[in-house]
Amino acid sequence: MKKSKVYNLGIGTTSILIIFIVVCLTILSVLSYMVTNTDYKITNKKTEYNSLYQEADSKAVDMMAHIDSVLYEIAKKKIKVNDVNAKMMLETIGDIQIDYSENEISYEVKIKNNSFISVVLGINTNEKNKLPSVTKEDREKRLSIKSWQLVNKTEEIEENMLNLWMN
Amino acid sequence: MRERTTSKISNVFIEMIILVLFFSIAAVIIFRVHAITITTNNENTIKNNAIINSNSIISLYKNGSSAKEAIKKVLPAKTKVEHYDNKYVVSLNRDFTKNKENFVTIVCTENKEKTEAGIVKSIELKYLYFDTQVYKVEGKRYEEK
Repeated sequence: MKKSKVYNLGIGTTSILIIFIVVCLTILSVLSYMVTNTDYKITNKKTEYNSLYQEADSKAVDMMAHIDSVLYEIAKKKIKVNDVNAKMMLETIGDIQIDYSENEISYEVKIKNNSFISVVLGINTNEKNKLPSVTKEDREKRLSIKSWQLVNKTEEIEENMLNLWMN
Repeated sequence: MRERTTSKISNVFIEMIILVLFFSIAAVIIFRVHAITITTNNENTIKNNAIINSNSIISLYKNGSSAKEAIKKVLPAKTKVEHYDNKYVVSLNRDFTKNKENFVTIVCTENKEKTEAGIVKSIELKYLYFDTQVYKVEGKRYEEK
């Protein structure tokens, strides 16, 4: 007489299965959270840098407005840009370099660590009297933007770098 | 024989109860983590889109466009721009592609500061995700008189 075989699942089988599913779900959810969290950190750094960049850019615009108001004063007083009085007025602005031979003003605004916004402005003067222009009739613009760029100063880092590759 | 069957049934029953309890607790924790992941991911997408969007709007504004023109050029066609005094308000979906779902609100405020020699014009862009401010940035340009 043959006995028919009955395959019975033991008591613990379902438990093992459920525990396995839960462990899988936990691993997947934790992994997805970790990826999103890394993205979040990167995005935060991006937003922070972008805000700092725009803030520095706004400061550069404010500086340009300040320089222009000084030039306007110089023009109203009918002083030439190369004159001593004009030089004194321009030097009160601070944190700017003035090249009188090229009629250029340059300055930098710090964004973060080694990155700066570097601005070079040209001073336009009236061809006849060599004064910065006051009204729209006698001019092109008082200031023209020659360059407005992002500069990364990496010299210090390069100096401190170790030359690991020895052929 | 009968006693053996009853004890087996009670064992299975106890195991099932424990399993259901364990699974429900685990499911609550996993769903919670998943919900946090979705929210963070949404915020990431919106922040990334906000950076791209704000940079485009500000660069157009700095090149001489008005705030309204800059917004209309950058955002998708037929986007409704509400205008109050010096403020422009736009509602968008998560991907900044449609005007229908109000996931994200962009509030653009235009300001002018007159000096003797010229005008400093500025726009402030605020990105709100369901009334929570996600990103804020300001751009300026200078115009001589």
